[in-house]
Amino acid sequence: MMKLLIKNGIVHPVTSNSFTGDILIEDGKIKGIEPGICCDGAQIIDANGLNVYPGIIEEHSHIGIHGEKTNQQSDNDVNEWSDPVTPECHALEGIKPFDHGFLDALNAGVTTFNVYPGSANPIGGIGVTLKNDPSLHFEEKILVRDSGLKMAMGENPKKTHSTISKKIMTRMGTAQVIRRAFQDAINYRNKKEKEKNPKMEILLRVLDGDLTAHVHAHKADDILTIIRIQEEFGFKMCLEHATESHLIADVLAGKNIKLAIGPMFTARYKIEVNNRSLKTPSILEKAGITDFCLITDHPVIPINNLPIEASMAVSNGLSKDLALRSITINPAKNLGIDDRVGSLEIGKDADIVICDREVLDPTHRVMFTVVNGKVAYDMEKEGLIL
Amino acid sequence: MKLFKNGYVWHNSEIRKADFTVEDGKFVKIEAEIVPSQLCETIDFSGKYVYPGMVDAHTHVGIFEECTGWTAGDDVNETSSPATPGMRAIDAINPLDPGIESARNSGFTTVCVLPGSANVIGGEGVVIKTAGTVVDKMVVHTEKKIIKLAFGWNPVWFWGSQDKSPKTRLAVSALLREKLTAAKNYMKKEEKEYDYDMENLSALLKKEAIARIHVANLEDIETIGRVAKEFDFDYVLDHATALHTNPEFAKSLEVPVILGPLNVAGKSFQTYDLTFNSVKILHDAGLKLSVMTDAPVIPLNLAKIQMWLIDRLRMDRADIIDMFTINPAAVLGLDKKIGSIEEGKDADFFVSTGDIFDYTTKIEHTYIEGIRVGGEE
Repeated sequence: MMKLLIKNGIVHPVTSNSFTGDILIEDGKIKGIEPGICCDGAQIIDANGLNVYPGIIEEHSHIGIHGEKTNQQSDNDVNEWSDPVTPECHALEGIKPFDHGFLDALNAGVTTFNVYPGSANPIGGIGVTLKNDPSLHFEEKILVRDSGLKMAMGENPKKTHSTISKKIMTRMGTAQVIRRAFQDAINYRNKKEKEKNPKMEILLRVLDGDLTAHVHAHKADDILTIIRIQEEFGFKMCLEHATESHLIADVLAGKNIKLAIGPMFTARYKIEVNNRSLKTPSILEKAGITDFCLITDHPVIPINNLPIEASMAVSNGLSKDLALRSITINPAKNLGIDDRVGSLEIGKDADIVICDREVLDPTHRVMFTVVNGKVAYDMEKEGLIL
Repeated sequence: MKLFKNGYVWHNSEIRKADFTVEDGKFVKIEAEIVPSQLCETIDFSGKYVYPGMVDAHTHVGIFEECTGWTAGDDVNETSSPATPGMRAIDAINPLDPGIESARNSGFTTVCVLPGSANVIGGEGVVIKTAGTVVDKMVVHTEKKIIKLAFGWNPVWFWGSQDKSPKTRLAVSALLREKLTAAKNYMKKEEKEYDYDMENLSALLKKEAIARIHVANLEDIETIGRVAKEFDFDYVLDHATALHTNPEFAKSLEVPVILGPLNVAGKSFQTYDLTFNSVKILHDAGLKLSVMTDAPVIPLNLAKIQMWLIDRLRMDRADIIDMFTINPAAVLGLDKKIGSIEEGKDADFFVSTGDIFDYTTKIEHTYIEGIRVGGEE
């Protein structure tokens, strides 16, 4: 039985109060979390003076399917833009398991990340949630095989399909492509005699509430349009990016919709991010929305900027407590994996990041990343990788 | 005369309590205590921190405008030809670019605006202060002209993908050699018609201009050294992504280096070696480094993130501050005028609620030549 004991750390469980003490890990799970744990035969990490957190969770990345360290379209598998409606495509099939992004995430303390297809298609495909455990084979890293259906509103589908497939020229076109697709799925269900259609089967899973729609939408008008469609068809939804959500915080506060905010650090390079603000998270908090998570969209901005987004949100008015939740337990809830990860609790996966300073202090160094109870990154041994 | 009292002032590489006076846009006196006189307007900075205005020696603000969509405000690369030495960045700068507003609100008071890196010879850059509505009034005169060049992947990718030259690195240096040879011939001619392209390249050969060279890979840096030796011109290495892989070679070049943008992901073919660690490796090798944002690649209001991430290397914080102030000022030949809080220099500074390495610190005021021009909300 593999045992690991983290001693005398400043422990931040996120879902309960911080304290100075120990965490005992057995067989990849948290077995004990309190001061003064003794355990013979355990490997010990001396965390004296160090800050101990649950592993950071990225709700929205393109790690592995983007293809880092090349400039080649042949290595970029983010967008299957042959058609605007490709629900049957799966991010899993585009991921390069040895992509550099896995390491970037590990060195930044990111122990779980979700990978979506891109935003060129109104209905892009299925995402996958991976555990960033370098000791596992690729298939074993899969935490949630079908983590949601990626959809997209706004500039990206319009820009792509007005030039490539010519099937969408306006935002009206994007909305109708989505409506037609779901109506097709309903018609398909109602047919008595039919051949199995994988596209329709996926869309029915969304309509049945088995898969959540994760919809790329920046501008308030795009957000309101997808809410209109969502209410017509009644599916579960999470808004991705939601750059202008602070402009309609009062509307969003009354809805049962999840939010994934970011990346907060790009230039205002396209019209739909002109209203990007570092204050968005604090405005949402003031409106009573406290279940959002932050995202980097790696490699749009580097994944090690995820806790720095939380820091910037704090310096712009967000509470520290929610800032920490927005990169741990909230993304876990958003992905439906909060029974496994996202906080330090007995019985949960031992995914832990240990920093020399508070994780919200952007000058911190990640000293250890522990995944499934195993030390996956040790700064002293491997050097600071930045 | 304005007297700024009771602040903690970054002066001579340390923060200490000091008062300072400003007249005609220049720092006049910086002392532990200055007694107010009746002729002085006194401004109290009790509990505040005062740092020199930051300098970014490599940006595209104003010519690659934010909030305009993909192309409307993009005048970075004049890709009508791969060699456009006569182009001038100043002709395309929109002083109302929100990116410039972000710059001044975030403590950046001087930026160098360069043409992009699609062309082997991109054109002339310009240094501006970050406040104003008429760009000609924002210009900071530099002793030498600034000529942007680019090596490696960017020109090869841009032109090669259109089935035009340069398709390879071979043609990049060949084109530069050809143009510089033409400039030599132009200089020798006694009777000639004025040629904008040739004038700027002649300036480079007469050392009345300095080349600012976009480069990533080590082999390109070596090629630059070879060409610069042949034609005897001065240059700066911009980006220099792989330079840290051979720190001894880096030191031997004896040229200024501007690293960055460092806080970017999606490592590509040409930025394969990109790492924050290069800052420490090259600094330890004895190089005086500057760090760029390449704004709007990294918007200037987020430049401090690079500062914080460099701090993870646990270097002397005074050295890090130099990389964002006096060192880039020196690259621009302006270290006698800007880049630190010193008597006689332009009164460009920002006032913050605390230490710049503390993420909760807010910049309350930015001053250019003694006048408040902005601050974070």
